[in-house]
Amino acid sequence: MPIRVLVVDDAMFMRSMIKDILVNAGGRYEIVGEASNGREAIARFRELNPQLVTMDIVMPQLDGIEATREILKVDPAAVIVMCSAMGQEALVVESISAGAKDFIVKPFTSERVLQVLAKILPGAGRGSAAP
Amino acid sequence: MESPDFLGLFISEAREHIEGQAALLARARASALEREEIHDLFRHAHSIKGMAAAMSFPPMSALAHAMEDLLHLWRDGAVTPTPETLELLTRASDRLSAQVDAIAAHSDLPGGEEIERQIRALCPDPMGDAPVASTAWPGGVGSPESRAGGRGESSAGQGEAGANPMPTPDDPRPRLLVDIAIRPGAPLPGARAVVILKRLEEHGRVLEISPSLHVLATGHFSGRLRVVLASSVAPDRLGSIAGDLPDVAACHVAPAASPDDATAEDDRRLMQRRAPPDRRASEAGVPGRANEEGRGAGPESTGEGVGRAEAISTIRVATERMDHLLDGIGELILDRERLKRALAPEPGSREAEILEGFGRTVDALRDEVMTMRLLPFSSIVPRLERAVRDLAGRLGKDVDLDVRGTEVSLDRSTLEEMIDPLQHILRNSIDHGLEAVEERRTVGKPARGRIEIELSRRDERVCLAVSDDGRGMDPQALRRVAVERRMLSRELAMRLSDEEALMLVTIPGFSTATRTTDISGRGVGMDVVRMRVQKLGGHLIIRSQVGVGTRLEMDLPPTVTVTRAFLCRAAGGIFAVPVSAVQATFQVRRDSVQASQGERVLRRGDDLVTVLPLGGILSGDRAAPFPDTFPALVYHVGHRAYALGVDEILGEEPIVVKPLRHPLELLPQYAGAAILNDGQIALIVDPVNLTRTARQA
Repeated sequence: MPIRVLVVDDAMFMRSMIKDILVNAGGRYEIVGEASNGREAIARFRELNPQLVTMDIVMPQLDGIEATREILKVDPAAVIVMCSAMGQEALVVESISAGAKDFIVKPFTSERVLQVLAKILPGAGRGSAAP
Repeated sequence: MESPDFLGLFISEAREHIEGQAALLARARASALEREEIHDLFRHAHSIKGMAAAMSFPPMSALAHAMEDLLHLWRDGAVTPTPETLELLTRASDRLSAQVDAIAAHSDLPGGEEIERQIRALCPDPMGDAPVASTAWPGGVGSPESRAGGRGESSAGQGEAGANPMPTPDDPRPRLLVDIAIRPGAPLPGARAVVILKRLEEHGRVLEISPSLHVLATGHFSGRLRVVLASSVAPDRLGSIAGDLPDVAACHVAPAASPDDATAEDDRRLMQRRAPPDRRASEAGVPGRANEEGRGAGPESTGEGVGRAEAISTIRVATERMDHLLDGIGELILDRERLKRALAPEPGSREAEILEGFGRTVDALRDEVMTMRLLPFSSIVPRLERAVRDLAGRLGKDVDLDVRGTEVSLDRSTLEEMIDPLQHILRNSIDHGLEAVEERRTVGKPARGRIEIELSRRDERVCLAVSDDGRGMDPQALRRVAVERRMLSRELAMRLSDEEALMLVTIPGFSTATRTTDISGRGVGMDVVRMRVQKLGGHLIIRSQVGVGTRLEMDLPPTVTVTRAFLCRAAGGIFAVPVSAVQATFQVRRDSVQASQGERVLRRGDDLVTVLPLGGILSGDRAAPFPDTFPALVYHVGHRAYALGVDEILGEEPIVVKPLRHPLELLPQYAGAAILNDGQIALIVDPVNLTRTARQA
């Protein structure tokens, strides 16, 4: 069973890049939906119940940190990985503090993204990380 | 039970943080701080909290913690400081300082609960306040109270930031010291560290982290993370869990003792940022990483990879070691002189060449160590400011302290030894010198009293002057008191110049007498001040004008221990006179000396020089006859020139100054003892004080 992923980023280019990396990971991931801002991300999360969310931080309407908080209220076991640019350390720290599991840094490399995801997903899949 | 070494480190580091804090708070009272400066204030409080907790000083740690929380809110704009807030923080900082002082004196810590409570009252309830909690760590790393209620293994939830102000009950699980090196070049290493912390929290409770979360979040992280974790997971297993995380280059987990355990060194090392270099980090191919310890939570490194070269260029050394180093160099200098004499090489010979090279190296080494020991005066200014604030507050006087020339540097030990005397002087100024507000108004002075501390370099000396615009001292009144107290005969008292009469306050016992009659407006402990200054190789001059103010001038040698001196023979012994105290040497013919007003003088250029026989003064016979010709050393006291006649000047040599032990230190004419080449000991004569002794005799 591939892991079901929601990709959140306001830039379609970035979403495409992540989709490309995940789709070409030997069938381990399935992109079930996309969102271009925080509000949309929350709605799509409720609707799709994905196992993994890749979350951009700086987005219009509702940023990724707020969206992360909201999603974790919906499902405290949600696995959210932040997508950050360099130099956003404070924001990433805030996101992690808010409950995001990990982060990846733009520009993405396939190897890097897959490595981070592989390390957080086996033991943090749905239903197994609830306190 | 405390290892004294750790205690010493704790005291000195805590003082640095407290002084940093005090300086920033002083600035904040004058104008709004930059965000970075508020960061620094926060960082100081945080460091103090962590260190005090590691050393088991709960009252101190709790107070620093309250400050940290308030500063956090200030930094994030959640509270705006009012003058009252700053006043409160200043009081808290002063209290921390008093606590450190008490720790240093092995006495009971003054509590800080009341101040702590007042600070807490200024912190809005963090619950549900988004901007407040913005960078807070939900799991409460570094804020143990936030987890006081539960022992949850996971704290991935949100909205639970620091609600419980109670201290953490002891976690019964074993403590592990987790030491992690982040892969060099890893993107956002600080954020990576936070991820690691979250993972660790799934396996235990994080008790302490170094560096602070704040450092992690602001891009100042060096890549070395140390965590004390209470966990029942086996160290090996935890090591492999952490080691398996992305960007972890090396991870070392070892049992750490609880803080009240006698072997709790690891915890303390962690908080003192002195953990031994991580062997495994080096093995893992991260050279340099291990060396970054010791930089700790400071913001020295800025950004990615920048500043890392500087990072390893500073180390912290116990002052005691610096003293040993300087002593060693002193011995080396003497050895060189002995060698020179023993070999007596022909000029231009190979031996002479080698000796010369050796000498240059020793000199360079000496200069290096001397320079290393120099600290700017600014490093003690916060303490002086605090003293003024305290005293002015207690005595109900308004006082402005102005310190100039704070960049002038002095040897660390000199600086430390001057803190007490300076506090004495400030106390005298505030207590006795400065008039009460009403009295100042009556005589047309501004209501706020003014104290000025001024530093300047003068030739090889540092001049330190403290002046106030108080009521001043009356030399005539001092003469009268001295006579009344039967300390001087009337004749002698009348012969004293005004400057000499002012010096009467430095006679032991005199100051207390004047204090009770309240004539001088000055007094406590001036004898102590003068003695300390003399012991440091300096002099004290008092100037004062009735109704205008008093000025104390001290000149101090900026460096200590090794100095050049003229070795002279007099009264059958050998004495050393520091070269820095002497302007010239010359040969005196007895027939050029004339009697004038009870003194023996000679004319030298435009100067009328008073001639004093060293041997005569030391043996109590000032009027001892001079030989036909004799060498003399010329020096000045104030504007008057003196020539100190000796039997023979043996030469000019470097000497190692050893302080005199009690009761010899009470003799003002001697500045210390010197060990000579041949192992003989010579007393070091301080000509200025010698002259005063002679004139008072």
